[in-house]
Amino acid sequence: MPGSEEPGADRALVERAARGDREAFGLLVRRHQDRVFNVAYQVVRNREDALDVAQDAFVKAFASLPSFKGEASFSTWTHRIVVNLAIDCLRRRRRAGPTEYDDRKAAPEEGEARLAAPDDPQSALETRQIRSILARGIEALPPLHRAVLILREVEGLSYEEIARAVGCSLGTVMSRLFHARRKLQKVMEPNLDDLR
Amino acid sequence: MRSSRASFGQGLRWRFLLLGIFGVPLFLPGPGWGQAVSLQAQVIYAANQSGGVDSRLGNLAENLQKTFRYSMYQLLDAPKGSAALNQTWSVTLPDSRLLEITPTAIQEGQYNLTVHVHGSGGKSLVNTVVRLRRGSTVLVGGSSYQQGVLIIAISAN
Amino acid sequence: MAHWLHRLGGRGRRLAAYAAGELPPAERSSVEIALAACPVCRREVEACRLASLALRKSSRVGLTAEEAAAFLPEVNRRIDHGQVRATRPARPDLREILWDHPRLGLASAFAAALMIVGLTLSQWGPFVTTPGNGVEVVSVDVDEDGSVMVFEAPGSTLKVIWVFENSSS
Repeated sequence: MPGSEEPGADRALVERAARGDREAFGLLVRRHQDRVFNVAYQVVRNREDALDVAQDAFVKAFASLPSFKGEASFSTWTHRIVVNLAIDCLRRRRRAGPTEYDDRKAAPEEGEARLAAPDDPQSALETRQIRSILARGIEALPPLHRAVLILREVEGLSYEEIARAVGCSLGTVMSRLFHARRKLQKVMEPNLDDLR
Repeated sequence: MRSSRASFGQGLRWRFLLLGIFGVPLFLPGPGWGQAVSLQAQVIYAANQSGGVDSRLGNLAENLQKTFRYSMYQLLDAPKGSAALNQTWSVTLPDSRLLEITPTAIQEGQYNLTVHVHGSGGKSLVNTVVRLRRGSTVLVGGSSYQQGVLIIAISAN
Repeated sequence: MAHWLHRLGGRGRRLAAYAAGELPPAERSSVEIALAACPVCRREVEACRLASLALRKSSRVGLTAEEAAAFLPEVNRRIDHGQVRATRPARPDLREILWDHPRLGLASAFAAALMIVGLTLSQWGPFVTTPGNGVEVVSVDVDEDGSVMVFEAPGSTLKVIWVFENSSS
């Protein structure tokens, strides 16, 4: 079931998958594919690339299963893989040249959860304008800062989990998060009066 | 009318201020101003004849023997003098030649010197610019003299 | 107090942490006192909170039904075809490095400026380091009938400017 976190059940499946059980691995994929895709998407901000990265992440996870010792949960472990692949994808894409920001690709209507009631004042947040402003702010962040912000704000990971996922120290996580939040704050501030 | 005079005056004030900011440094003395360089020129006669190495050459003798293959080195003269920046110190050399040394830049421990050797009749033999560290010696030589050549060892302090 | 002073002493970071709800309770009251006195700080906190809220509420993206159905088969296909990409990770570019180390960026810019100024001044100034024997021949001119050689003999510390005179001089 997408998004379900059952570390114990994961462990059993991981052990079976590490021994070559493709069915067990398939269950792991189905269980985590939405989350992995979402993380990939938040970093690369492009649906096609996100799909590619997410699938590659599971391929890489399968290849590395024998080395997975279970010291972290499967989701934390896949976080690390998908974040690194997504950052790589983003860096390569940036080196390849500027891409046009595509509202449609960055903020698709399909598959997006509606979490606020229509008459809730905070439904202002659901407007295309805010998403567009926010997306531009995220777009301006370097890959690692973007990843850290997404893992904290969207995935709700702790600082320690983020540090493990991104492969840096706690201090670096906090520093990157601070700078990323400041960047977004600067992007949002000029539009505050319109959004109140 | 009054306002145009006032603005002209204000503009003039700014012009003078800018001139002061950018112009005054041009007239400020650069490094080495007021300092004098102590100079020495050892005039050496070198030839392939008997006579050996003049003991008055001191430490220079060994280096001369490593540099050249003459059998005799005789110190003819060793005048000392000093010159301030862009001032010329002149030394008369044998056979009516003239040596002129002019410090062109002085900084703590290093000197730029223009060294000019004139032949008899004022003809320029060599005109060189050298940069010397304090205590170093440069040799300018090759002018024929008697059976050999003249070598001038120039040092600055 | 001028708002820029609020950035000093880590107050900027405390404000951002406060906005994100990550500040320990003991520090919250001092931040709230500061916020009461600084309208610019209050605006920053509000913008921060709006950004965080917007991120959390509007950014989650999932697979469409078709994508979800095709996901595992594609993963399996890639595994079966050995399509594990073993490319070297892309290195961060300079911009990323400077984002992570803003002080490094400032220090680099300062060092670059110093270097440019120093190089420029050294072009105007007469002095460069003289070689080991303390003598550098900057230029030599001789009479048109003569020639010159500049040399150092092996084993000797002396630099020699040797003039080959024309026999008529």
